[in-house]
Amino acid sequence: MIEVKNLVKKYGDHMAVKDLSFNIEKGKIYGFLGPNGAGKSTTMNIITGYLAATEGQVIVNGHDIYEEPEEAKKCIGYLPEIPPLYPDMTPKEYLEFSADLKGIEKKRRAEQFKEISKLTGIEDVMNRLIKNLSKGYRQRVGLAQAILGYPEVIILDEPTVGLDPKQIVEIRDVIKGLSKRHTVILSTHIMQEVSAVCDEVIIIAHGELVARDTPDNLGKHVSGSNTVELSVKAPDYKVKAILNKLGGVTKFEVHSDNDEGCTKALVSTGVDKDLREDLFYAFANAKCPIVAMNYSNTSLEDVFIKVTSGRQTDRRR
Amino acid sequence: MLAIYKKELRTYFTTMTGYAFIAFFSLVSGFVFYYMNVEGSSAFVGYFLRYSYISVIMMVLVPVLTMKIFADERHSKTDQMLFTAPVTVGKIVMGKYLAVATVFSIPVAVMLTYPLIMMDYGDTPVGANYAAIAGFWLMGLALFAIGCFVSSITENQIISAVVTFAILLFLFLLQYITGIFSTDALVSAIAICVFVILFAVIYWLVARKTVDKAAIYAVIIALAGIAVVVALYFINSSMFDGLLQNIMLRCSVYYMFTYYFSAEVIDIGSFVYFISVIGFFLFLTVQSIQKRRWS
Repeated sequence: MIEVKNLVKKYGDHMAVKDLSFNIEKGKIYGFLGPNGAGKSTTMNIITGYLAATEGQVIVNGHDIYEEPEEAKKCIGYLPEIPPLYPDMTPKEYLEFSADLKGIEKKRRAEQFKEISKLTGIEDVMNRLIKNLSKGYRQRVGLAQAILGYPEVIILDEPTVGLDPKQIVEIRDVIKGLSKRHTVILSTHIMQEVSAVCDEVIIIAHGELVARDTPDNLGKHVSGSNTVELSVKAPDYKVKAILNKLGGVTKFEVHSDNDEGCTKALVSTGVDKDLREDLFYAFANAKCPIVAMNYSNTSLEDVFIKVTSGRQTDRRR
Repeated sequence: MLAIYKKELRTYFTTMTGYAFIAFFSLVSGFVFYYMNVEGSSAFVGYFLRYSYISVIMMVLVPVLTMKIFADERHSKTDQMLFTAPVTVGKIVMGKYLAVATVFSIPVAVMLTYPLIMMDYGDTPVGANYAAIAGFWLMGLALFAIGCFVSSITENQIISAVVTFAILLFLFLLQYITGIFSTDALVSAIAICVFVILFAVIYWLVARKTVDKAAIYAVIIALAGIAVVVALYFINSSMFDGLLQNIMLRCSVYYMFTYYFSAEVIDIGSFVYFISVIGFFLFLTVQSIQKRRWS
């Protein structure tokens, strides 16, 4: 769908993007993550053809963005960080203009406007001037513009910034709905958004790709293990003895807990292994009741911090 | 292209810019026409069009219309929508330029009635009058192309307006500045050498980052240019007589209008001249926008 090959972008002497390569497959929602100044917006601007790369290649649906920009741009709908709105137009006029620009046939427009305004929830404001609309509605009008013409790829740069919690949930639902017909790439800072919406995550830091996986796998791979947190009603020596006998455990920590004679244990194992059942039977056979068991996967925040700051310290050396 | 054209034209006429321009321009041109032709009993419309009032009014009104063309889009980031849409930069520039040209054409169309009014008073050079109006229209379009280009190099509307005004003022004054310089062949030759060196320096400034050994090329350009000028000067020094003046006058769009359209004859050269100026500046506009993508 989209192939990014060895992308380099220099602003003067500053390298905003360094040798970035990835490819995007059809029908998925991609989360584009990175700390401020990581080169997310720059990369998106290059993919959409707004900026030119210093080196490297972007191929959208088989069309090189430099060789055949018009063909490539037809496949992309783009909502930049600041929605590109004309304040003196109404959303209706604006969508009309956008449809003209994208060359959408006149007879298909009325139907599309109806569908998209309903989808993005701007039906009620279609005839008001954009300058009088709130931030949330402006964001939606921008989103409507990106969806217009149903391009195969929709690229959204921080689509939920400035929206209230209810609107955020609504916009996320809209984005999820889009994945049925479109490939979506969205950049964001918000981690819940990634786990709520995205099928796959691409993390970049300092213009380089540092991690790419599904949100679930990412947690496991980064910490290198699955961890189960246990609370057992038994003295700590007994817990240690049971855990020592149990196969598949790579590491464990035991803390005696004074609360009602319970002992807490953190048990780590390999990435692909799930120990919970084994633990249950082991403790049950020893007649030590497990009062709480938690499957603690490394959270995406931790992953993000680990992955992005790890690179930074490497660089300092 | 049509989409941009329609949208731009609508912006001129949903805000007051378009109306104000048309009203003000028509008012001034009507007044100057009355003052110079009716009151002054002159049958030739070109006489009032080359009068300084009109030049000064163009100097003020052209920047007002062109300042926001690209600067505003860039400032409010709406250019991201235009340049990621499946439309080439050339078409976007053309659409915007044609829209501003349309707005300018409306008061010029009003001017077309002036020769008709004068026909009522006796024998008038009708053909020459219409040719002069056509020439004025072309000159105006050239000035708008310059404004368009200036707007594309900045994202601040005020800077865009001031720079456009300064350039138009300079072009206007150029025809008078010419008188200061000597028509001596040696002076012209030296001036040309200075231009060659300037060109080499500009080349070096532009190319030093991208071209290897740009400094050496710049020196070669400068030395070769100076050698050619010196050689030509010794072979035939008379070709440098008044050359500097001629170059300066040909750069002054205002002077070229007077030069071509005060003789009551149609010179094909005039059309070539103005259309080249328009083409050149629209080309520069496209290049300046493309360049911004790469830096």
